[in-house]
Order: sequence, then C-alpha cells, then structure tokens
Amino acid sequence: MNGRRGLIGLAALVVSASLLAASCGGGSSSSSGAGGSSESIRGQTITVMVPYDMPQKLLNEFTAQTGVKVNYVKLGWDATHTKLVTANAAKVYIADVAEFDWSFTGQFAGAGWVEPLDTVLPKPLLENLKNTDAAFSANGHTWAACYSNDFRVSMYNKKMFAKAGISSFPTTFDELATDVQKLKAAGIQYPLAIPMAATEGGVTPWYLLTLAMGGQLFDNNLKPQFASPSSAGYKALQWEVDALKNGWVSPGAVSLDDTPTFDKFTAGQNAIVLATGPGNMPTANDPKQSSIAGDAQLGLVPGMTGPGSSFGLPEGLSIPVTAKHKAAAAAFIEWWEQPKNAIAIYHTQGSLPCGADALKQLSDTGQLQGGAVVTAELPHVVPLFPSGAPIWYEQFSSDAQGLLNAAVKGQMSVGDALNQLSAKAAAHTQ
Amino acid sequence: MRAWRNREGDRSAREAQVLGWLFVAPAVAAVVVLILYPLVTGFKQSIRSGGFLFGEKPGYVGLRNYKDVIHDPTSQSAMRHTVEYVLLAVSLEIVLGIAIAVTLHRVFRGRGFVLAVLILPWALPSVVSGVLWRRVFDPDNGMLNSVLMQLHIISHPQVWLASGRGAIFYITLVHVWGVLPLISLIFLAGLQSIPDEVYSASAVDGATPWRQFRHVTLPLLRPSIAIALTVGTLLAISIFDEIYVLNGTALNTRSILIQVYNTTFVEADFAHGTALAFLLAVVTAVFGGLYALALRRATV
Amino acid sequence: MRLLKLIAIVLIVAWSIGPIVLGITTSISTQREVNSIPTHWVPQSPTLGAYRALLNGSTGQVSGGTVVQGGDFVHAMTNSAVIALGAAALTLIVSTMAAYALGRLRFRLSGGVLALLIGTLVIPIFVVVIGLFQVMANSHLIDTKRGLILVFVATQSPLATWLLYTQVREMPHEPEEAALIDGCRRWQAFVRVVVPQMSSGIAAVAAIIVLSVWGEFLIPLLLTTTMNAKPVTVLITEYVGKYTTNYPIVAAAGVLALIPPAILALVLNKRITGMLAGSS
Repeated sequence: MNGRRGLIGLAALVVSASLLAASCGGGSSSSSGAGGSSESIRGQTITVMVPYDMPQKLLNEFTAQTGVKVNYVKLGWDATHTKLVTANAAKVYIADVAEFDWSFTGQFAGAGWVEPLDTVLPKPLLENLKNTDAAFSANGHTWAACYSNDFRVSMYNKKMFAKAGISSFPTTFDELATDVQKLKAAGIQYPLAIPMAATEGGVTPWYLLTLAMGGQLFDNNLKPQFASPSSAGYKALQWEVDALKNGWVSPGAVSLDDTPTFDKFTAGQNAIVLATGPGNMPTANDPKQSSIAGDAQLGLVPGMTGPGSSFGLPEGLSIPVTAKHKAAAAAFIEWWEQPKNAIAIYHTQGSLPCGADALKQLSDTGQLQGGAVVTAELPHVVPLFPSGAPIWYEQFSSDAQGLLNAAVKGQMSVGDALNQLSAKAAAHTQ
Repeated sequence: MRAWRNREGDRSAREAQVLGWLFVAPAVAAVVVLILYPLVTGFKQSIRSGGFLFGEKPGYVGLRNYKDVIHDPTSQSAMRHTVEYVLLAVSLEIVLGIAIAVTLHRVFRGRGFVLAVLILPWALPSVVSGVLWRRVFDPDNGMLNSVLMQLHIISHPQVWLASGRGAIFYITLVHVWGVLPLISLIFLAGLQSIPDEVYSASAVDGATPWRQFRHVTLPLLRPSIAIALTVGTLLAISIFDEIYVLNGTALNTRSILIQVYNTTFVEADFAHGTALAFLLAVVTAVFGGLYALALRRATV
Repeated sequence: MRLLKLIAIVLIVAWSIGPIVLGITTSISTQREVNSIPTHWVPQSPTLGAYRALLNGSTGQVSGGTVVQGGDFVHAMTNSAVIALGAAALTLIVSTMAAYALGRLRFRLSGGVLALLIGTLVIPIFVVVIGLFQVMANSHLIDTKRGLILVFVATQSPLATWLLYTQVREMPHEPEEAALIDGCRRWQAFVRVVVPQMSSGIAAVAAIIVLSVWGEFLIPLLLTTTMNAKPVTVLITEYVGKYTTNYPIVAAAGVLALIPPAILALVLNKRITGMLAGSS
C-alpha cells in the first residue's frame, strides 16, 4: 500500500542517517610504503609534526625531489607533546614524522610508540649522527634522528652591557649579581629574562641552574637530590625566587613561556637571557625578526667558581608506529639530515644541526654564529639524566611545572615545593 | 461501521508505534553511541591500573584510583579551588543577577538596547572572554595595572593571576561576566511572574520600596533563586576554558577539570584522570538532580 | 531612586561592553603602543595591520612573533561555521522527530526514552570525553569536521529534544488531526503540519545550538590536531600561547571570533524581549 511504502522509505532514510556514526574511512588509506625505492613513494602525502617553523620553500624542494607532499603541522612545544601522547596512547594515526624530544625516550620507546630507526635509515647517516645518538637510544636501538643539537647557553645584549660599563659576560653567579645591579643602574629595569610559567620551557631554567651550581637532579639510582637545602637544586630554585623578589626579572615572568620570553629579549626589554639555545642566534641578529639585531652575543652559563655545567636537550625526528607512509617518512628524515638542508634549516628555524658533516661545514665556512662560545660551552654540557630519561619523566616534568611555578609565585615555600616534588618523584621508583 | 473504525484505529495506533520508534531512533542512537558507551568505557578505565607505562601490572584495581586521587595533594587543592570558584561565582551571580533584573524589570526607553548589550558576554565563547580579559589582567601591559598606577593606587605592576586568593577571584570575575546574563534573565523571568496586584496590595499597607523588596519580592523569587543556584553551581563546577586561557595549568588556579585535563592528556594517566572525572560527575549529578527538582517546583 | 537606576544601567552597560570595547581598541593599536608603559587604551595611531595579518597571513616576522600562517584564521572561522551550522541542522532534524514522537505519538516506552534523553543532560561532558576520544579514534573520525558534528549532535540533542518536546506538548492537536482526517499518513502530517507549527521553537533552539557549538572548546581541543577541523576557539588559545606579547593580533582574533555569536545574540534578543513583555 502507498502509505506503508512511504513509511519504509522514511525508515531507510532515518536508519541510514543514524548509521553515519559508524561509518569508517576517509583520508588517504594507502598502506605504509613497502621497500625503500623512491618510485613507490611518489604521490604520497605525509604529515610532519615539528614545533618549529619550516619555510615552505624548503618543503617544496623536498616535494620536487621525491614527489612526496608534506603537510607540516606546527603547534607549540607543549601542545605537540600532549597531542603525541594522547594519539599514541589511543593508538591513533597522528603523523608520519613526529617530534621526538630527548625527554620522550623513556616513555615513548618504553611504550613502543615509535619505530626503531637503525634498520630504516642508511648506515652513513646513522654514523654521522653518532655524537648525538645517546639521548635517543634505549634498549639497544636508536629511536629518533637528531635534528636540533640544542643545549643551554646564555645570550646577552652587548650594547646594553657597554652602556652599563660591563666589558665581558659574567662567569660566576657573584659576578652576575654585580652586573645585574650595573644594568639596573644604567636604566634597564629588568635585566634578566627567565621564563617561569608552568610549562616545560619554564622548568628548564631550574634544570640548568641546578647543573650550573654544581649539582644533579637525581643520583645514579634515580633518587631525587633536590629536597635538601644544601643541594644545588634547592639553591637553584631559591635563586630564582630571589631574582624575582629583587627585581632582576620582570614579575610577569611567572606566566611567560620560553618563546615569549625570548621575544621580549629581542624586543630590547631585557639584557640577558639566562637559558636559551645557540640556534637562536640567527633569529636574534636578523633585523626582520629582532629589534636588537647585531647586538646579540652568546655567553657561557655562569657557575659557582667559573663557567658552570649546562645540559643538552636535543630533539629528533621519529616515525610513530601508527604512521601511514613509513618509507616516505624515512625519506623526509634523510632529506632533512643532508648538510645542505640542515644548514638551510639552521638559518631559518634556528635548530643547530646534529650531523658531524653539517656542523663541520658550518664552522669551516664561519656560518656558525657565536661559534667560539658554542665550542667553548660544549665541554660543559652534560646529560640531565646520566642514564637516560626515565619512563616517568613526563609526570615528573608535569609535577615540577606546577610546583616550581607555585614556589616562584610565593604560594609555597621553596622547601615545601621541592619536598612535594621529591616525594612524587621517589614514588615512581618504588 | 464500528468494525471499519476499529481497523482504522488499529492501523493508526500501530503506525504511531512504529513511527515513534523510528523518530526517536537517531537521537537515541547518537546518545547511546557517543555519550553512554564512552561513559562506560571511561568508567572501566577508572577502575583499571595505568599499566606498565606507570610501572604497574595492567588489570582491574577496583576503587584504588579513586582513593589515590582523593589523597593526592594536587587534586585536593584543585577540589578546594573548585569549591571556592563555586561559592564565589554563585554568590556574585545571585546578588548581581537580582540587582540587574530589578533594574531592567520595568520598561524604559532604551531597555531593548540594554538587554541586547547584556546578552553579549553570554553569547561569546568563554575562550574569547578569557582572551579579552587578559588585556585587563596582564602584568606588563594590562589595563588594571595601568589604570591603578596612573591613579597612584599601586606603585608597581601586580601580577594579578599569580596571587593565591586573588587569582581565584579574578578568574571567577571573568567566569561571572559570561554567566551573569543568563542568571539575570532567569531572575527577570521570575520577576515577570509576580503579579502587580501583590505590589499594589503592599503599597496600600504603606510599605516602602525596600520593604516591598525584602518581604514581597524576595520570597516570591525563591523558585528563581533555586534555579539560579543550581544553574550557577553546575556551570561553575565545570569551569575550564577561562582558566586555561588566563593561567594555563598553573597550580594556584587549577580547577578539578583542569586537573583532569592535565592528568589525562598531559601526563597520559588515563586511569587517575577518569577516576577524578567520575568523582566530579557524581557531585555534578547530585546538583543536576536538584536542578530538576527546583525546575519542577518552579513550573508548578 | 531614578538616579540610582540610571547609575545601575550605566554600570550594566559598561560592565557588559567594556572588555569588548577594550578588545576592539587593542586590536587596532600597534604593538608598540600596547606594550608601552603606561599602556595606551585608545590608540593614537590606529591601524588595521593586525586584521590584515590575520586574514591574509603574513610570511614575514616582526619581533614579538607575528608569523600567522596565511589563511589559517580564515580556515578556522570557516570550520567553526560549518561545524556549528551542520550540528544545528542535523540536531534539529533529529530532535524535532524525537520531540514529536515523544510528545504526540505516545508510543510504548516513550516515557523511558524521554527519561533517558533528559537523564544524559546531567552527565557532564568531561567524563565522556576520554572514552569518546577512543570511540572517535576507532572510527577514524578524529580531526574531521563530520566527526565533531556528530559529537555535537549527541551532546545537543537531549536539551533540544526536551525544549521542543515541551513545545509539542503545548501545541494544539487540531491542525494535525485535521490533516490526518484529510487522509495524510502520520509522517506526512508531521512534515506538512506539525513542523511548521513548531517553527518558532525550532528557530530559537537553532540559535541556541549554533551559539553553544560555536563556543565549544574542550571537545575540539581534544579531537582535532590539524587545520582540517580546528575551530576558531582552539586556534585562539594557540595564539595566546604563541603571541603572548603581541596583543593586537590576539585581540583582533578575539574580535573576529565574537562577531558571529554577537550577531546571533542580537537576533535572539528580539525573541527574549518579546517573551519579556515587561510591566510598565
């Protein structure tokens, strides 16, 4: 009958509409590339997730060379980390080439979230990266290819120093204190730029200061060392709190992450960035990006009796196990690591290359900005975790972010914050 | 004749049954697949261990995660903050909401304009509200510091969102800014339902406007107050957007939801994150139930 | 008394509009003026540079970081619009049908279904969000606009259905019955008579859904990664982190993001003032 047919038609419509929720698919669905021949990867599109700028021009060159299109996703560092963690925990595709910070090694490798690269990348490339390999190795495999040979070093504005009558960058914390007073007297209200927000970039200065003051965060058995008032970690946090109180650092620093902090320095508001990467020199001296172009210089991180220890925080490129085009991803990593490209990226992105070839080329041709200081700092660089980042580093970092931030805001005493942090860290190693 | 009418009636009734089920099917399907099923999945996660990522054997652990969360000092401070947010927000909303409703109750020239302006903060995404208010609270370039310094009330810029109690107050202010229009409308509707005769009767008895308000209006507004109380509480308990934009995951302003977000998505601790979320859900459900009751009584 | 009321009205207007006006003036200031101490509230050299950078995208960089990927902001606004309108349309279809079924057809167990739908109103979304992430991940709906639309249909339908249900209950039966007597089948009567009868309620609910979904933040934050589906609420928070010291850009983004909801609110306002006939 007429009505019933109409009713069934409507039913079909309604049912198919509610089945929309279960529909699958969408997006490219080719299998992860088999074999390594460049022919088989032509036409694929890969997603690359790295938290730093990449000029489109370079990406176009890669596409012209290999036929692979790149969808480059740049989020903030913390946001990138959160997204990678969430997607990997849910075993969902998020990128073919993904950021892999030194701090990820314990967790990501331990959880089996990334492909081992020692069988995927060509031997000569792996040989070239040997010096920076340690941070990305665990369980006998290499899990990422280093792309940013980052470590901590200080940067200062030589024009402001001249105005304050300071001839060279301080080498000890005592000298630093004196110089800060001179800078204040010369009219620079907040001479020091230190990020103190509750972010990864906000705790890095504390790590650095702990090392520079001659101590370690954890001992060889991963027991926390920073709760005792005589420890370097305790003194480091107290130093930060005092710096705020004495007006060496702007009060707004408690909500600033490292990138806006650095922006303020290059806008001419501060004289010294205590903890930054050597790769930021090109940016600081580029008139298009900085108001202090030409005045930025690197300085060795101060210490107790002379230049202090610093630590390396290299970043690498990894291939998640959920990647869709693994061969194309490997091709992208190989392309990035070629000295020509790594150097071009250094100039625009500020990531100091890791490959021995690229580094040699840079310093031979005098393109390594602040090269002398970089070379001088390298012997002071030690790993933050001598035995590699533990699997629980992320929780430690998250706890540290909150507690340190509370301490610098004056909501908790330094002792309370570090005791709580120590207790939480110790709980992980039980 | 009667037989024919029965057959028509039967078919119509059957049609109603079939059509009824068909018509609710999409809504029910959406809710079951995208709300109820994830709810169950989430609950299951809350009673499991975090797995080897946290150095534990995978498996069911009963209510252990809930106990962990209740005893964790960071979660406890998040709970304390949330209570503060709720108490502060609801008090402000009710007092200011009634005041605004009383002001706008009688028609006056330009009332349409004022009402239009009043709704704006509620219509904006709370993330945008956070962005706008950052300009007020920013330590270096904010309006508040600028104005107060020019008026010589403070001598140097304050970091408003870094202080303990203060930060909670300022964030609550931003939250209330967005919610107040809704609460004001609730009270406005409540005022409208009070018949004029009540006022004229009390005026005859010689009552001043203030006494009228206290002894006539307020008691009659009780159902509206109940609704406003529960709506305000529900909204304040789940405060997230404003905090995220203004202060990130900083400890001094963490609400329970920010803590859930941090635990689950930054630390990848789904087990404890879901446990905390469910704890909050139970409390919210209680208030939701109160809301239903209050609404019932108000619409009698 | 009059004076008090006048002061109150001025305060209400200032309080409601103040931050918005501040946002607008900030967005047309230069970064230098905003960062000066004391800050300038009213720009002395107003410029539309921030809007230009946002809408066209700039590839150059100025200190303070103004690299705004070309087209990203517009893309995000489009995403928000598509998602909000799509969710509203789909939700209305679903909820109108459900409201009619529950309010008129009175089939067996309709009471139970109503209780189920209204019951979910009590469930706060964040307990669902984590499990939801995995359901979406398994269906490959992460980072897609249609995935977000489906999620919002699920979250908005209960309230929409309930509001429309109350309207259906109060509507007169006569027009529908007349159509049935004329020989229409039930569903035909629904489409031709009942739905038009509900049009004012549908319009109001539509506006509420669009406003709610436009303002959604937590769900898209977790369910999107790339610009494919990212709405403007999520993009703005990224700007806050990236361009912390570049207020004009962040303010301009905020102003642009509030224009659609503001327009919608003004439209809704007419209905509200209509409902509040007000005593004189």
